[in-house]
Amino acid sequence: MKSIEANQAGAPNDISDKISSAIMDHVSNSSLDHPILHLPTIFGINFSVTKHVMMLWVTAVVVFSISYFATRRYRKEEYPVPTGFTNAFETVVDFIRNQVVRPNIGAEFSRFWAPLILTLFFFILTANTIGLIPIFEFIGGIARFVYNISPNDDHHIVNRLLHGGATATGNFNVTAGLATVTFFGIIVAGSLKHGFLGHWKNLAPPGQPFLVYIILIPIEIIAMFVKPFALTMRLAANMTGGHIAILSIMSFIFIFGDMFSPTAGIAVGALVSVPLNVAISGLEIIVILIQAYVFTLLTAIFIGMSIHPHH
Amino acid sequence: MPIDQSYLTKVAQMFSRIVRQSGPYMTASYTLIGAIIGLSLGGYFFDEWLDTAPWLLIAGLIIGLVIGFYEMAKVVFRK
Repeated sequence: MKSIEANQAGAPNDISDKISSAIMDHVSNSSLDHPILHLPTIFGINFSVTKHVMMLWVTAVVVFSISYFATRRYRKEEYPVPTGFTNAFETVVDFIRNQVVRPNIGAEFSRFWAPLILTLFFFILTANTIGLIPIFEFIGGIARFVYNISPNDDHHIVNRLLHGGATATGNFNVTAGLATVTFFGIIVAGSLKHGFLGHWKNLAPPGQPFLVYIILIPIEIIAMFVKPFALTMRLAANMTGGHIAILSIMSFIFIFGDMFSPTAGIAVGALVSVPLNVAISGLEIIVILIQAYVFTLLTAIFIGMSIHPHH
Repeated sequence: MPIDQSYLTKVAQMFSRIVRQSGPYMTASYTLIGAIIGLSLGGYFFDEWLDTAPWLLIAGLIIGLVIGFYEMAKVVFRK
């Protein structure tokens, strides 16, 4: 009960502070004080590689390797009928093309826009999935208990890897970058179909009185920025929220252990935290799939609305 | 226990049809929330910067509501 008494006395609660800082460290990017790779500052921008930047590279390498491996038979023209992993990959590609791109953008534009939509889908799905695998926690455990690397040694590469979260798509800057691709995709799609000026004319419905346009044009211009903003917030918030939920439930073990006894902490962990987290992790697997799907679906809808404007 | 492939195919097709049909309405709801949150945040930060609290926050909230509902109306009343 010492923590409750300490709180009532107005003193800082140690375990709560530790848990909240651990959760924040897990969901946020590593600070520039602990970069994984030091790079120079150019034009006032520090180009040092942080955890999320590294995770973006890892994601890019994984997506490229999977795509390259899955399509090697087509490029070699060895096996015209796909089997195994190639077949699974083709099923996903086929699903996105037939169920997302064609109905929303149109069959005649699918060959042009399907690569972008598929790249977004695989990139977001891979980044979400990598964030769900506790790779760095495992590395940290091995470093502490097998190799006895001190947690205070900030120069050690293992300790630098442990700062920050592994879910790149939980960072608002990353999702804003992805939404920027969507933003320009919308403009390019409309401009290619209707011409540059034609695209901007399509933003507002034709044949309205002049006064209506004075109100509508600013609304449409702000709405143009709101759509990618909604994409940015939704993906990052969902990814961050899931991790915070899992870590908060796991922290019950340490809170109860500190409040009562280590046995109480273990009991709460075995009966509540771990079973609940297993269920939430199952839910998270569905969430990472749905979020990747929703991002690509909304991108396809926005591009489709730009190509086929209806008022 | 053998898995009925035709049943799974039907479920997958139905799921994709429902998601496809709900796409425009998802867009409308996300735009509504995005407009309100985005413009309110914009108003809040401009308030902090220009020391005009709470007027730009209120203005952002109202403009966000107008834009969000306009985008929703566009989807709902689409011909």
